[in-house]
Amino acid sequence: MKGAIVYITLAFASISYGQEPTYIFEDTVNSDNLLKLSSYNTYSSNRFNNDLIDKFLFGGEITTEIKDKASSKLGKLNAIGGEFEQRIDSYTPSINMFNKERYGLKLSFSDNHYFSANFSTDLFNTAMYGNSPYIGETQDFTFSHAQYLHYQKFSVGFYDESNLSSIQLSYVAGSKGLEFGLSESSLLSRSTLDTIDVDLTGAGFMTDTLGPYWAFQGGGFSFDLDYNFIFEGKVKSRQIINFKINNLGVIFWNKRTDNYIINTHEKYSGFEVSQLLSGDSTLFDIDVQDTLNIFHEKRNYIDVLPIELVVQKLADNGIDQKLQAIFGFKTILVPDYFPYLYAGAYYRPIENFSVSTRLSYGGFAGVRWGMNINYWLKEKLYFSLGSFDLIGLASKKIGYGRGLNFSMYYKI
Amino acid sequence: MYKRLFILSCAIVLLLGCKKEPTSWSSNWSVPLVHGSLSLDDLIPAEYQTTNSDNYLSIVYSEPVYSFTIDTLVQLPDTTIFRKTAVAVPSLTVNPDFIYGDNYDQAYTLDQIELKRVIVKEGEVEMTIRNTWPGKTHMTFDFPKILDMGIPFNRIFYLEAGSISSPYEATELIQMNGFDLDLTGVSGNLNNTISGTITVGSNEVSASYDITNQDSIEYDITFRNLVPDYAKGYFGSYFLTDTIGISLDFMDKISGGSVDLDSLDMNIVLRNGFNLIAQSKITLLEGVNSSTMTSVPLSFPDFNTDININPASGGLYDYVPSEYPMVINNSNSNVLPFLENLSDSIVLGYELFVNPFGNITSGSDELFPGSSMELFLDAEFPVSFAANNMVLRDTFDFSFEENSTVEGETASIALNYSNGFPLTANTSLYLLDELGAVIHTITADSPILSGVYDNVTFETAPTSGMAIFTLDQSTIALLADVKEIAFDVTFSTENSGNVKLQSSSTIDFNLNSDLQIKLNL
Repeated sequence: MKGAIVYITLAFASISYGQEPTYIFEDTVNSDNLLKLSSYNTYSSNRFNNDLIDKFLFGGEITTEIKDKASSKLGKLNAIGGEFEQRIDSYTPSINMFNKERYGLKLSFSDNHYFSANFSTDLFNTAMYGNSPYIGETQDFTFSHAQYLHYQKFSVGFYDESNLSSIQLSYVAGSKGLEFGLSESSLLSRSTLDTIDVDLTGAGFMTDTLGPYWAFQGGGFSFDLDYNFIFEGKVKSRQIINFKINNLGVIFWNKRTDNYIINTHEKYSGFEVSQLLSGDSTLFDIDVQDTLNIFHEKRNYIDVLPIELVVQKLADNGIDQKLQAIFGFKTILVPDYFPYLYAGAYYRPIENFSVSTRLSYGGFAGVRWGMNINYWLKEKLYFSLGSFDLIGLASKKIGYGRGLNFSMYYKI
Repeated sequence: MYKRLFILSCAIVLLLGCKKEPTSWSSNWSVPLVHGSLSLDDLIPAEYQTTNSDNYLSIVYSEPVYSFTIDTLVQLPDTTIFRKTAVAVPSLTVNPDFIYGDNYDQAYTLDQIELKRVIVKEGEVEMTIRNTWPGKTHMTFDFPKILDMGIPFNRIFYLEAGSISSPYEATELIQMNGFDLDLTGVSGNLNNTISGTITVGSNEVSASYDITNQDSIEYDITFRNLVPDYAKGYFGSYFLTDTIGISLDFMDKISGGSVDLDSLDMNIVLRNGFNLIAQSKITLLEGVNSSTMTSVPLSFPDFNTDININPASGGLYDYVPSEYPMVINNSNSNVLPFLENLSDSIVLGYELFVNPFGNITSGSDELFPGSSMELFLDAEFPVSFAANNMVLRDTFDFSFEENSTVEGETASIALNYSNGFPLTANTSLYLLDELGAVIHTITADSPILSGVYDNVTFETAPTSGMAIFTLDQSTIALLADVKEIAFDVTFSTENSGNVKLQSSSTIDFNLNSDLQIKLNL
């Protein structure tokens, strides 16, 4: 029975839509060996609804109606992004650090995907509609950006048995990655349509291959801190403030990594008729990289991991209060991410069951509404299932992403 | 419960892992394709154009239609002089002052040609000497009748001692460019004969050595690849007759319609750059239009008549070709119908009789450097014409590979023009399959409008406009089967009236496309 539960949990964790569940502080005594599985998966956008995103995920035709709707909502920041983390943590109180019994050993393994992008309004419109509707206009692509990372973390560290705060140092195995960003960039199709002015400046890199799944193309390290502040109130019950820094580290992609510098200032006006009449057979032998003045070099690339900062007030199961407030702040230090704020309530009507809800704004998305349910089985087994984007799960038209999270632990 | 969770998991895996269909969307792209300016220079090389006295364009053509040069008549085959010298006595002591001399004439075999003198344009002579005498020897070759830069040609070879079984050998290769060969032999009365003297002697300082009549000195002198630049003599009597086709490639593109030309002045000149007598006759001059399968023979006063061609005058460095002009114009020939046939090839039949009366100049015929005998066309075509649906067609190879990622939906190709020619043009694209059969025709939505022609100044004010070719989805679907595209431009002058072109006329244009493509990712 337990094996079946673990199997299903693992299977679910590895494929489901989810998001980091509402973290619940449970006890100040953590003397059991603990095996924790969690699946944090989310993608969202502040401009592109599920109708459009689904076409990229599941295929299908992006109709004019879908394009028009997305285009009408575009603004200064048109972000889309996602985090997918499948993680296993082991807490071992019997192996002590610094010869102090309160510091146990924490080992973790996680498989992480991270992607984010920000398209300028004009870049999105040009990609979706082409340049024909914008003849005579300058299309501004400046600050468009996209990145993708896939890596695994092998982490070792210690935790404080009294509050489950932990510090870990990780070896990061880089599987694949890419990042491209544009600075001053534009496209002008002149009104006479005799010339197209292409101005692109930017840089980027891409690992040698984008497969297979467990490809190893670089290594690095990261530092993760997860700290729970416990405030014992004189008037009110105690309050738990969680502070996290994750992914403070780098990946050194190997020397086969493709590095690009783009410095294109081209005026394309088609072929000169005299060139065609001359019968020059090399006329159509066009080297795109040379023509667009793209400098390419294979060499190492040092990539900073997406650093994550979290401050949040946690729900606390160690107090008798059935209804508690939860709120928090999170940011990822990448250009495409907008600070994420949430606030909500946590309700525990009975001993082994609780539910929480939250309203959030930011990240890659706008306003979202979420819910999480938690269930404890004989204090040994814990399950959590929820989503911070119930609207996204329910609607293609007004949903702007999806999230479904799952977590469990087992006290051995 | 667990079973349901498992089923849900599997469903999500399938959802993520298998895209049922590609992500696709349509977008429209406008791209400049070709731009530029076309003038008559692009059709007719500038050297064939001139502005005539009436201030409009004439096409001038001043080129040989057929010619032959000196090497057609005189060809010098490779020849080798091989000599072996030996003393006539059984035994002889060769002292340091010993000298032995010999003269010789070596005749070329040149059939009926009798050459007295040749200046070599290019060629070489290779001299090889083998010495079996048991002492040092020298051998001197003197060619008093072969001049190199005006100086008699000679060579001295110094030979080490050799033997019958192991002769000493020396070789030298000499370029003969510019050598002047007198081929009258030692006596000066012969033809085709190279003459020279050889002197053999001891090269020892003080020693003497004995030779027998078995010891010899051998030498080979091989003349190779000799090309004459000038020749004098008698070149024989020849009767040449031939019919040749002259392709007018640029006329290939005219596939239909008609033109009405105004006037023409044309001279066909028989030009003789050789100092010899010849007779010639033009037996056929016919224009062939392979599109309409029509032929128009040209008749003119000297047609099919024996024409005596006088020798060129002057000498080696100042010769002047003789010319026999045949004037052809509107009034003495059918030259206008001949040209209005829009022939893409001309068939020329001729007869040429060189030295029809034999060697009546006692071998004084001359072929001069760079001279030729040719049929020369000297013509001026005033570009004053009326065109009625004259079709220019150009065909180019085409291949289109269907691409599953980028799929063409519709396309329109816009031709923006400013037409400075007094001609209206309708344009069509014919899509041809591998057998050349038309599988679809795309016609522009409007003609290219004529410029505004002033029939006093003959100037044309440009007219601007746009012609659009539209390819719908069904046409694009055909492109995979298209192997060639024929581009037809049908020209007409206004009301089929006569216009006079100016060399400054141009048509400026830019061709751009508006493609609707579907991306499938």
